[in-house]
Amino acid sequence: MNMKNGLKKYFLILRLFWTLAIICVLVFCEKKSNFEFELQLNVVCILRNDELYPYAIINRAYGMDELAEYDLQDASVYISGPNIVDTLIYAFNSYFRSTKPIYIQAESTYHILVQAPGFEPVTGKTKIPGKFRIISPNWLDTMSITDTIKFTKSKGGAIYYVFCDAEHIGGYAWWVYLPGITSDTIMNVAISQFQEEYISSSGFYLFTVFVHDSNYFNYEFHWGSDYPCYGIENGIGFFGSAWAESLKVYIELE
Amino acid sequence: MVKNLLVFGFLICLLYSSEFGGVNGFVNDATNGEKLVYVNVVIENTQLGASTDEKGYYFIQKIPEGTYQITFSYIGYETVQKIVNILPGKTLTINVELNPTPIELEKVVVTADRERFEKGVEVSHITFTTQEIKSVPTLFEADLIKSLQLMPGIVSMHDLSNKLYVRGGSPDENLVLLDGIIIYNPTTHLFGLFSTFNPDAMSMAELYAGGFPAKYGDRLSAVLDITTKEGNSKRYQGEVGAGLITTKFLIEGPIPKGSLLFSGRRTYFDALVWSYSHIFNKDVSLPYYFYDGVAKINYNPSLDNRFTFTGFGGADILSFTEGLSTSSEKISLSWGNRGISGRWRRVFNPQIYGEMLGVCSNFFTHFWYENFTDTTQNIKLIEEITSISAKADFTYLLNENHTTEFGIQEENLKMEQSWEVVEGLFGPPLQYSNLIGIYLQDKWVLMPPIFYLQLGIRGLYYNQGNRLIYNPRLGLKYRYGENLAFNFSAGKYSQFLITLNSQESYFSIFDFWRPIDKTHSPPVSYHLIGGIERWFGEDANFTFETYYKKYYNLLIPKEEDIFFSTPTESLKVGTGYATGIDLFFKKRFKDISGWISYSFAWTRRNVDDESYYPRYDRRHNINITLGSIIPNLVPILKGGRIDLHWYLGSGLPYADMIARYQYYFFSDNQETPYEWEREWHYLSGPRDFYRLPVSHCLDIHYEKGMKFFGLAGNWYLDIINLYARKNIAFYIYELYDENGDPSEIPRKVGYSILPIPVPSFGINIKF
Repeated sequence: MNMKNGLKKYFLILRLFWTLAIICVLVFCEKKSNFEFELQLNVVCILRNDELYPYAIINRAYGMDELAEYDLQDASVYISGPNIVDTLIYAFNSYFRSTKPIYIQAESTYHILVQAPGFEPVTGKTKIPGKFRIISPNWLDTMSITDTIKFTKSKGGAIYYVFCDAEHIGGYAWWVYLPGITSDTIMNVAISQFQEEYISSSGFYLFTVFVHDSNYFNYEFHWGSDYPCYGIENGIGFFGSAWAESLKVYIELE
Repeated sequence: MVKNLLVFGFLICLLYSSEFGGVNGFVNDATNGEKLVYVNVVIENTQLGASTDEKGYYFIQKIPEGTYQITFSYIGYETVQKIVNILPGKTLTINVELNPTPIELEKVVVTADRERFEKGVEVSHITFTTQEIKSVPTLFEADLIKSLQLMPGIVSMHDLSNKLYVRGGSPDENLVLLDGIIIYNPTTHLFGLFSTFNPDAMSMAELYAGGFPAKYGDRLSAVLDITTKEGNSKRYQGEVGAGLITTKFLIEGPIPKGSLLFSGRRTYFDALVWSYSHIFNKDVSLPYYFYDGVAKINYNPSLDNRFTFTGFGGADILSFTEGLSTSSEKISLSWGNRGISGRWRRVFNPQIYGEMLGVCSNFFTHFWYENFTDTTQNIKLIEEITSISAKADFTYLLNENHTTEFGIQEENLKMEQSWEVVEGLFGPPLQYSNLIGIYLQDKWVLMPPIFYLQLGIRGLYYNQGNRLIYNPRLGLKYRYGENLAFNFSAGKYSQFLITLNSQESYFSIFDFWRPIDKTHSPPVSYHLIGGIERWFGEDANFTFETYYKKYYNLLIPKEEDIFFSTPTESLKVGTGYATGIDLFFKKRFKDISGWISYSFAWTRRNVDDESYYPRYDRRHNINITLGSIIPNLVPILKGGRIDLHWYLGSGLPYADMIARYQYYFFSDNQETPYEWEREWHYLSGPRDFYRLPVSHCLDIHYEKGMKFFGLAGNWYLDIINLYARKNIAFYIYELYDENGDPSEIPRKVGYSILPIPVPSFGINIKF
């Protein structure tokens, strides 16, 4: 009888042991792993025909528990394109600026190279949007709030910004934007689209139309993607371009 | 075909023109009309007998001519004996109602479980009664889905989650039926915290966690089939109750040749706030309430015919004017399920009975913006899914060891999306789809009572793309001795409806359903399930099941589409698998009962080149439930019943941030072009790559009977998260330290959905 009870106990312990062993195996088969991520350079640069001394903002991504106190002053930034090879020099607070004027050409391709110790070099390219023409009104025409600014589309333009500078009241300004993806051949911007508080009195206003390439457009509107990388490789950010045309008019309000 | 039918009819006629007779009928609970499954029906002093099937139907054939005593017995019910006179070539119909004996309900449930073990073939089959649902501690309201989440293989995303993730399947892969009405969004109440089913109106809920038989289809993972109460056919009775957020009622009673039942519930806080604001002249209001209700009528014109009509409706209403720019504006949002079904059960002859079902089901989401001073601003958005279906199911009892089920179903779906403004009604054209399903299922006890075989096939025709699909099913059961059985099940499952919102979100209220269009192949899953069930006497059972589920053609919405829908063309086609082990042990003592469930699960999805664990992939899940009558030794609480539930779950996957960078953008207030502003943006690691910490929680439910002006009733108290465990549900990176001062390094802060113990209580009165 004792033998039988002993055997029973033995088998019970054996069962418990195996049960515990299986549970342990299952618990520890949860693999804990870490994802290795190589921190990259962060590049923001727009080449513009109205900015003769182009600049680039260069810094880097940081780890989540890393203090963001480093400025990459020892980075090298090169811009190249038709008849241009230029080095941007560190200016201040992540800004690198050209020391000589650069005259970019519409519909031409420009390249950027950013190097910094400890990081993969970032390369990129952008194609300058095509020239466009403001059809109406003419320079220094008189307009009313119900009038419209008309201009031709730019080849390769992905988005248009229209900037309004109220010169007569000390430089108040505002802008509206239009998507470039449209079948229209003529772009229209109604003066009434600008907020009333900025066009609030009669006077001279300077309108500047900027058209940007798709690299900038994608960077600004990268919904759903938390890894913006447009027009560049091996880095975060974008290398874009813009073409601008200006128009000064007198707006007469009732 | 015609020739075969004639031969078939001739054989049946031949059978009934012999010297034998038969007896058939349905067995129901005398107090509420519920069907009683697996009731033993024995003809005394013979070897003849049968059990009632899933519909409560029995048929004993080949009874020699004579007078017999038939005994109907079922544990928990008084035995009924009838004297019958069997005539050759005749089948006598005897419908029987059994009266329950005053033994505890627990015993009845045990008996039903045991009978299923002995006579059923289905694997992964879980049943819940109203009483079992009510004994599970919940926040504010007893809830079916919360009860099901305690079972093995079922995962909840967080402490208040009310969605069913069954064996690696997402909630939209579950077919949810209420008396045959398809419920498209079962957990819509209180922004997704409660299911739309009032437990008081329910008789039973059956969950097939996988390997479901051919009579069910059109979903990839699981079936939840809810049956409402039949209604008391003997006398009128009712129940009213009030909890912390709802009041409810139930009335049932007899009508000539039948019974009826009405039940409803509604939140009442908005009415209390409204009263308060009027009495004390305060400008406060609660702009939200929900309600639901069930109406059911049974009509039995003859022994062989029974008609059942069910109506179901529920909605959540959110309507407010506060916070809008003018007091003449109003925003209203309502969403809910509604449906009606009509069922005709007919016994065509003792061997064949059938159920014909007509169903209309609808889920709606309505949004109104009303401007009372400028009606041209008014806008009304409508999103609805409506299905109208007809179904016929037949059961053919060839003999006591061989049952064939077959049926046909046609379902027409209409999807509507529109917005109404002053200029007219706009929106994409209405979308229609049509699905026809035919099934044949054969259950054969090859070696009674040892070896069971269930073969089935479901043929489907889907009009979008003219697709013809076959879904074969197989079920096997081998009983080794009296208390041990081995199960195996395999099958192919197809689905023709998808949801356009992510199924991995913590807080989605409802799903946006769409039929599969002709450019996409329907999602398919294959189930392989093997199991062992062991009984230890009559009071304890242990179940082990292992499964492997493979998915193809999954149409997966974008991860970030939580509340709004992904356009159909943006859906990504993926594959995946789910595999795991489910263990379940249930034990009953005299006054104490409980169960332990453990699940080990592994779920993987592959989309494009990305492979990830979906956010509901919980590797380990343990639930322990214990219920007991409080002994008289304990003062105050004595005579009541206490239920404890503790769970432990390993961490769910989440996507963590791995780096941050300065994002540059133009200021809205720039005064010259290209004035850059910047802010920190975060880079997310691989999809759902990291794991949240382990979560655990203890909930308690106490219930005690009471008298209220002579009426019987009970009161209950629930406490959720008794020891205030802060289970992390998600993380947010904050640029402030604990004192609220700016921090250079982002601080990872974990948030819990229910960080403190939350009590709730209520009463129920019967009359």
